[in-house]
Amino acid sequence: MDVQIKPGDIPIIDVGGEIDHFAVPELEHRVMEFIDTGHASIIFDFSDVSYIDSAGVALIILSIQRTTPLGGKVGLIVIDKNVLKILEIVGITKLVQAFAMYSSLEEALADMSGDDRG
Amino acid sequence: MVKNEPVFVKELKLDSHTKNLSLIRDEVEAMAASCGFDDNELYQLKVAVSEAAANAIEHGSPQGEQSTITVFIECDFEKISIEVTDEGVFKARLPVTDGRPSHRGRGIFLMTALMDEVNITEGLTGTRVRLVKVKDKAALDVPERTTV
Repeated sequence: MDVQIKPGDIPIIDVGGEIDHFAVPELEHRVMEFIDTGHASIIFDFSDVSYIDSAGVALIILSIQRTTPLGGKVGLIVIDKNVLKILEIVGITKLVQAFAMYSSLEEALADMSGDDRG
Repeated sequence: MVKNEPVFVKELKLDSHTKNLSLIRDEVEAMAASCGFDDNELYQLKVAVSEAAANAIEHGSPQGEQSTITVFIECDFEKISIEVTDEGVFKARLPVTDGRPSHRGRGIFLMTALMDEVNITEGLTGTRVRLVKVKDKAALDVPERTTV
């Protein structure tokens, strides 16, 4: 798993490769650091993610649980159809309140920069 | 279908560490591909076995990384079965929450959603999770692959 973090008003967590039970603890630590330091909204750019399982799903849900009380939002960019299928199976794609899915970073930034309250 | 098709069998014995999950996924993918499972099924198998193995590593390894997990893979051109055996007791594995929905604990759900059969057997010395996937019925109707 490769991780590039682009700080900013809405931090972009750009991940490539496989998000599994081995990769998530380190990734979770870095993401929670951003949220704990006052970033109410974050974007997960999973455009280059080829594999995700319940550990990655747990990270997304934990992020939603942490950002929601702050009035923020979690944006998720997914392209891979297999990754998307896993997210659909666990029902995460239906969490529309504090969560949005996009097909590109441009789309995510345009949407989330407009309504970011964090 | 031809009845006397070869059966591929492989057993992996690995240290109980999540760094081995990608190796387990790769082995299952290679075996299932040899048996003719399609890309969609390969992905489902990878997720299911990874969930079973992650469960074994996180909850079924009383000696930590010194514990061993065993992955037994068997497939033919109709189905694949994978058994993940650990050294722990299964009971303690359901997610513990403080009253609100847990962000974890979706591994077993994913296994059952992706596989045709999931059996969990608790023994005195460990827990065995058996995953079975039958090849897509439509794919079974595809004419036999041609050989040169």
